[in-house]
Amino acid sequence: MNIEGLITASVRLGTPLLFATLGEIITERAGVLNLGLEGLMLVGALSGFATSYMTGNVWLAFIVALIAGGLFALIHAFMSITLRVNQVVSGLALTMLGSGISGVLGKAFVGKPAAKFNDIYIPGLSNIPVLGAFFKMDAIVYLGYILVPVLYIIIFKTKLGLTLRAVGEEPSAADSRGINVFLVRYIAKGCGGALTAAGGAYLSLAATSMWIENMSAGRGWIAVALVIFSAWEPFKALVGSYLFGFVMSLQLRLQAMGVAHVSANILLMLPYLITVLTMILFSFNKNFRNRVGAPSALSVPYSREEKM
Amino acid sequence: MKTLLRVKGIVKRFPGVLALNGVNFELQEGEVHTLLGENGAGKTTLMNVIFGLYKPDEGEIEIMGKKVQIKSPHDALKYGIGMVQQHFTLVPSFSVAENVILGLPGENLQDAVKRIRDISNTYGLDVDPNAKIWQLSVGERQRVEIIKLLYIGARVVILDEPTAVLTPQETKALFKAIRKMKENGTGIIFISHKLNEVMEISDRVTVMKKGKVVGTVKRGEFDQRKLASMMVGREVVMEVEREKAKPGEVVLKVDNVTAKSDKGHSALNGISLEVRAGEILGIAGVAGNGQRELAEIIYGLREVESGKVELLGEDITNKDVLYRILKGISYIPQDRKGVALSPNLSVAENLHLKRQTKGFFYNHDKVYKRAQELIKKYNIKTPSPDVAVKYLSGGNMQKVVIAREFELKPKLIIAVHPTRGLDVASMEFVYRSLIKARDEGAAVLLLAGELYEIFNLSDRVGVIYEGEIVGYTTPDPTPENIEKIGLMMAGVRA
Repeated sequence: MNIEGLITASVRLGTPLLFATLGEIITERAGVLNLGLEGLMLVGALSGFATSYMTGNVWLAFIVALIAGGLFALIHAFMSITLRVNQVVSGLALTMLGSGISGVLGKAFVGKPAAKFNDIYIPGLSNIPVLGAFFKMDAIVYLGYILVPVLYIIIFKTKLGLTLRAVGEEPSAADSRGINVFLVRYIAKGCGGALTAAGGAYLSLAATSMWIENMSAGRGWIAVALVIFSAWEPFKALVGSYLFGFVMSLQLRLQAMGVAHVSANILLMLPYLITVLTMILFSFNKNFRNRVGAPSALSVPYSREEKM
Repeated sequence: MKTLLRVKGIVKRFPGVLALNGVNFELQEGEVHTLLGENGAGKTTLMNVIFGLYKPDEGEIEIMGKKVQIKSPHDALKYGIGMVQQHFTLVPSFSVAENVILGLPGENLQDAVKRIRDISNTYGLDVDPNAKIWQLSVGERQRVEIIKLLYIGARVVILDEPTAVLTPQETKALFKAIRKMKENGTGIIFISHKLNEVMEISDRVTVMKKGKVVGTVKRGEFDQRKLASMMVGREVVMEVEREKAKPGEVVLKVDNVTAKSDKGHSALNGISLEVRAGEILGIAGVAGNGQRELAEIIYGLREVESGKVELLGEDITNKDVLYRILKGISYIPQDRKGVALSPNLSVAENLHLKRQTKGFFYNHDKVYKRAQELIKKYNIKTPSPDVAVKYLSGGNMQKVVIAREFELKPKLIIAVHPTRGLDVASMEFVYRSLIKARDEGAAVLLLAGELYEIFNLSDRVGVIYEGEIVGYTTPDPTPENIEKIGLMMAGVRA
């Protein structure tokens, strides 16, 4: 099998997962659990596609997707941070809302072509044998490469990150130090939502150049699992996302090779099956079971005057 | 001397409760002003108002003679008010220095480490700035909390029951630091209900009861007896009458048991003890030294790694909880609302929970009638047996637990902090119930945090430290014996 081709496919299929996972890492680091990733990705995919279709400007489209995702995530922020609704329920609501809205509004765009991000070969780097494949990608993939170390540094090396993690670990500690827990959570939620939506936009602006209803096809849920595998760390998220990208590309390849007697449906199931299997495997691991890295206050709404 | 802080006519209501009812309070430069009162008197609520965690419904706050609005801890810190809360507000996965600079603009880590070392040395608050919080003992964590406040130059330092979690030796070190802060002009609000400590450290004492100030007295105007009577409202220092124990056969034998805590650390390190019929063995110790785990291995809620648990000579190490209940073990856990009772079920249902009856259905009428009898017998105050148990007061909830457990005629009773959070009358009830059970021949293992409770009830006293019994002593409240227990609580073997 052609290794360069595999790298290309893994990275391209892994990039939407990467953005969604990074977005959720930011959100969860602030102590908010958002199960609405699937809905956010769809909102990002449609808003990006619609902009690209109407203006032909892919960068504008990408930015619109970011903004749309950020705003859409604020719905969840309002429910879970201000109203203190159960975060699992409100997250599921967001997913349903996202797929519903994008389905209805997207009807007009089905089957229409639009502009798409083109590949940029990076001079020098792209000439390296085999590994050069990493540098024959589109701009969004490169953005992902940059985002990972940048987020790592922000989360673990800056005071901004200290504040973010404190809010997710021990909101009362942050509050007693004069940090506005609610504001930090809102901002984290908005930024996280924007990144997740960018993952969706990648599907309709780079991976393909069309809109298909429910085109995220469960990737939001895989990202939720990836956040846990990655132990809330950006670099591990990168490895995990590309690994899943690899599994997805393998599935496509097996189909193309016509592994004759195996139904295509079973092959399609592969990435999801692997998600479940990794979850089970991971759960044998002691550190994982004790959820090392998980923000302690994850999914617990904060309130000062909560009595009993 | 300047007045740092003055609050006037503070009123704070919670749904169904008037927590503060027109409270006045003031604090001067370089003084320790103690707030004394029973649980639920409103001390912590008042402090939370001053620290901006609660919004007062009425009243005003003055800082250095100027009226201010404190809407959040951020405002409070700005005015130089800092608070060490009972539940520490530290991020466990962060280092000491990271916790200290959290939320402060323009601080860098290296400088912070240096300044923390300076503060540590000046005040005798020994702690490593680079250690992670989760690695620290409770005493050390408290020091970090105080350093956090000194770091930002707080003029008013609120310490909410700081000694509740400390050994006598750690308390001494804390008092040293407090005196040093006083010298530097800091005003300290000290909350406690341990009279001897209050006597030692306070310049002024304000006593609170049921959300109101009973009175404020200066040093020299008070002694323990006066404070106690102000606090309780009547001239009684509670002492429960009881006869000398007549110990019988060995009921419980724990032999060299090791077990792990929820977090996987070793919590019990080869603990051994015996309790006989008709005696109360009190176990003293600083919280978190294996008390909970000890209770749970005896009741069967926690796995034993090695060693044996015997009940009346029978090895029950690997038996399940139901078997142990049927064999006569009763458990009064520390967590009343979770482990002991099911908060949303009715009083009658909770009273019925442990009864073994035949058949698939249960007879509501019978359960109801029996509940009515028990409510009468144990004097449980509830509007009806059908009321969800969570609406009862702490004391009445505990009565429900005791009624249910003691009606099973247990041979062994494990009681963990049985009076935590209860008022004096309910405490007395719990004490009498335990002594009555003892006199009827039950073996009682009492795990309590407060020494007076151990002294009031026990026939023998053991001290637990890091999952081992470090020594035994008599339940005499003499100063020598208290010091002996204090040393054992800190791990010094008798």
